[in-house]
Amino acid sequence: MSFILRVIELYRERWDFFLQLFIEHIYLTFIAIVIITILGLILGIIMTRNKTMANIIMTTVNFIYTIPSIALFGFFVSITGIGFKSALIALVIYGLLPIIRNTYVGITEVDPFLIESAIGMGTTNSQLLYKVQLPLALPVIFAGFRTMVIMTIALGAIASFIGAGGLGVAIWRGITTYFPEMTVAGSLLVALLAIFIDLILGGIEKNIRKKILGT
Amino acid sequence: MSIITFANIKKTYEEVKVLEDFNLVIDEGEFVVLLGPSGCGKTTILKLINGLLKPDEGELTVKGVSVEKWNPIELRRNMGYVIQQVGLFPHLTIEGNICYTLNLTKVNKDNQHSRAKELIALVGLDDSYLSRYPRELSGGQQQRVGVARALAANPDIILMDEPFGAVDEVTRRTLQEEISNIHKKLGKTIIFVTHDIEEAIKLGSRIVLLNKGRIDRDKQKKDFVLSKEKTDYAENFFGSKDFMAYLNSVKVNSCLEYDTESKASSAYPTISEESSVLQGIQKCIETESNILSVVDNGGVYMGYFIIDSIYKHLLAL
Repeated sequence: MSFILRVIELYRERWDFFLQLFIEHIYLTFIAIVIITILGLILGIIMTRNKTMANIIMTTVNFIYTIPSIALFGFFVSITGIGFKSALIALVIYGLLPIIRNTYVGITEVDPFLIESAIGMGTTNSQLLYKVQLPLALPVIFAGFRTMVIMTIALGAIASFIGAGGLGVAIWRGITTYFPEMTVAGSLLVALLAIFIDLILGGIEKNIRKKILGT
Repeated sequence: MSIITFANIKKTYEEVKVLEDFNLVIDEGEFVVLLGPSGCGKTTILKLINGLLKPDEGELTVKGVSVEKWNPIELRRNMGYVIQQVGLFPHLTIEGNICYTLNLTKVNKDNQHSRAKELIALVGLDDSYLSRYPRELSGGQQQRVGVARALAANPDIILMDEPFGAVDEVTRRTLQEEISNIHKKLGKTIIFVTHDIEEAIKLGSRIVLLNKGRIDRDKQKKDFVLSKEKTDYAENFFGSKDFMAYLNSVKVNSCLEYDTESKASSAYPTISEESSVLQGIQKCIETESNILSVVDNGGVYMGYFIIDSIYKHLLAL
């Protein structure tokens, strides 16, 4: 009990420190999420248009996903140095898989008869994408987006190990100075952020499913 | 005036010949039914018309222009397309679905809305359906919307690929009547694919029977059913089903006689003018009378239906 009280006390005393880490964390993950989403959608769509590209992209992304995240961060430090840039690149590369896979699966699983009747009615290629394929794939794509967001928030805590700031700083400092309250205080904020965002995204996902699939 | 012509068309799918030396001329305003078992090439013919497939050889023209010269998008926007699976978009309301093609060509929203109201009434559904989603409608209602969608851009040609294959018998009959009425009202050229003999005879002004990518028989409805020289294939395919369907599609008021042995019209059993010849024959047998008195909806006498003279009328149609 007293441990929890000590953590709360810590928040009260050092709120400005935690607030700053919190903002850094959100900033880093937000930028990563935007880049991942744009890049992931584009790559996913390219995959649906070209079978060879699909194989190449999927194999590459799957391979990267098997690399432990800490190793990936280390790898980029040796290329782009310590700091924000390396962390961002590693987060983006790591977060691509769910978006790419779900965009690809979502679009390829649209009922072929819908596609055929759309084409038969004079839909152009880009109209097919914007008016039929993307809207119908949206529930699946959004599920991938939600997974990716939560993963990126969690992974963002590791980014501080390569000097990119964020709530990982509190966790890291707690471990190195044997200050468990500090570690817990940092982790708790990461967890709360992830849970809160997940609840919001879950609500949005439910609405999208209801609108498009009726369930 | 011909609107679609196939000249020596050949189409092969993975080395299987689907169509060979295929020739067909369709005139404006015709209701042509392509009839045949599965695998006879009838769907291929439709997909050649809207450019979803390309012929290997031969010349196919639509509105006088070779399909190779048509921009495929433009070509498809010149024709309505209805498939068995309906293919309504689940993420769009009924209005959104009906206006889909108008939306593609960026027709103004007010015009879209008034067109949707017009069309939903034409296919026999209430305005209130416009704001619903396809999943809230029955299969038959969905196909009505499918027909409305095909008509939205007011195309001259409508392609229908077994559109009523997935709905129940009763719904199918009403849908058939409605498409028949729509054809009469709007005078579109309809090319309708089916394997259902009754449906073909009921709807088509002209019927084309296909056998493995060749035309076995291509005639106006009456000649199609009543002429004697039929191939073995046609005999096997139809049995007497085409004839029964024909008797079912012709109404007793097209077989009226006015002269009998001067008995009062009330002396005979009555039948409504809307009844089919087949129903007339059935009534004759049931009432043991070779003459029926035909009345209109208000019960007013119109003439006689005489079983001995049916053949004259049918041949003269």
